[in-house]
Amino acid sequence: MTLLAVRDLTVRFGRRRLVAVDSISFDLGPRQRLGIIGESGSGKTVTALALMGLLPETAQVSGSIQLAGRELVGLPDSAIARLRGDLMSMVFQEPMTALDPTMRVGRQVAEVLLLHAGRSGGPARAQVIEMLHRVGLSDSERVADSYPHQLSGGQRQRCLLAMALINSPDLVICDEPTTALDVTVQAKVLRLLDEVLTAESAACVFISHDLAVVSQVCSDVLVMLDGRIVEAGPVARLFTAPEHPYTRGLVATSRIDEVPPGARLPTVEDFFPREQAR
Amino acid sequence: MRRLSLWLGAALVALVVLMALVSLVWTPYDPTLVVPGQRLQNPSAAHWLGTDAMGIDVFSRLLIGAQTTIVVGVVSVSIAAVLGVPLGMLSGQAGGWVDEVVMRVTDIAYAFPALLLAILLAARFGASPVTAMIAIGLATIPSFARVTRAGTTQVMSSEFVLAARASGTRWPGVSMRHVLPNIAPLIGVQASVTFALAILAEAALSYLGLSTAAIVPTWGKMLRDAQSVMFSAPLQALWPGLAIAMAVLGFNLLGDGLRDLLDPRLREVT
Repeated sequence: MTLLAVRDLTVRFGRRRLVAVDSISFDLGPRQRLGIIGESGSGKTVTALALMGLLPETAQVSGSIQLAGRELVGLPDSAIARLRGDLMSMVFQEPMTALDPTMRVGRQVAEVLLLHAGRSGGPARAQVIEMLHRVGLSDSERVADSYPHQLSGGQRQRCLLAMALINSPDLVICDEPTTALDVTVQAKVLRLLDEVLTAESAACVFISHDLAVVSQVCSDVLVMLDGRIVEAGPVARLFTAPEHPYTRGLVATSRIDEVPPGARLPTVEDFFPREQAR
Repeated sequence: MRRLSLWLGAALVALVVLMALVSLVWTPYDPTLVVPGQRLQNPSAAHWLGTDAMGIDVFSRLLIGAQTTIVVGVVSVSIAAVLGVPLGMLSGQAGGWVDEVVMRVTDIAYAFPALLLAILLAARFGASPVTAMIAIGLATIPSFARVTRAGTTQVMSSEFVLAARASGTRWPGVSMRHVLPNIAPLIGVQASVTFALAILAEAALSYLGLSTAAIVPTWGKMLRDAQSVMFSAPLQALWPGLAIAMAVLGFNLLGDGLRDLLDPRLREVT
């Protein structure tokens, strides 16, 4: 049984109907983890927002997104809002801006529970503290009572993880959750994400521009380019036998440690030349 | 420098509030008591700021006048904020044609002369502080709506609103829990600056005879009374003029100071 089935998803923007995502299709089973990689402007984030029903009103979505058997495309926002935070949730890219600066972190993490699980303040707080503890914030009481500016980037990203996972969603969409963090914190957060996803038995769509990061979390991966899926398959095969020249370029550039000293570093354009520079 | 304007503003505002509070329980003389034998006296130990053309103690009138000033400011700013802030939030959150309609109506309202509105209201409902407050309140709705809309669109485009929506929060929740707290500083600054505007407007309306019934002493009314004796007793115009200038300067400095104080935080939001 599939949890998420996307068929011919197309997203256009504005009056000129610029195509951002061009009829992509993929499936995701329960507990499965799918990476989506691609460069800026390849349509990764638009895909994520389309899954969440969070695209701006200027976007026109066609095709089909079925989550646990429910069709999401064409559903009114009020109906999708009931699913957001309950069936599916999202981890955002920028821990600096994804937390409201005027609200205590604990209250923000608790919001999902107050909205969906029908919890009231007291029990919700206990659950928030426990969840913050599970994402590796040892002084979770203090963190819960802090404002975002009092926390570090890594702490904030952990809070966002807690926020996305506290209500045990079936699907977690991670939009470059570690891009804004430095490499050591990134590794810790990725390990943590892996643990919590396993513990909550949640499926995950993991968006990144970094093949190495995706391979740490995901079993399968989609490569997106200019709004299309150019290659899909298990991570291992993608690394060993990439088919599309663009993927070959990505794999080569992610292995610069194998380039002999003094040799020219590879670029994606060596494998996949493009007419115009962007 | 920015601390200076904040503290100076706060001090001047506090002084006006203090005058109003003191006048509630005590004034040196009855501020409406006409004493024909003591007209236009110079400042003395008995009458600190002298007496006016009707023999009323100027200091007492000045104290009582602070009450009207505060009430007019509070009421007209409240009218403007209560109507303007939701309008601006609606405009900024809904976007699209709703935004377009609200903003064009606001533009038209902005172009309508406030003084004309006050004259119209006074002509229809009679000149009183109430009509003056309503006129000032209505006239300043557009600026509140605009400032609120600007802040709201900024907050709405932020990732934490997206994150809140990703948790299933719908727009009433987003408005109350995320937008309003984040634009509160903007509204506070606007309220302070509008307060100054309201004081000035009320003084102008009193001076034109469009606000106060004869019996209520206000600073604008004192200016009007002083006009007839301007050449024989110029001090009569000085005291209410100073009081108005002090109050307006105080609220403007307070607004500026608040803006400077909150600016780094506002930058952090973007």
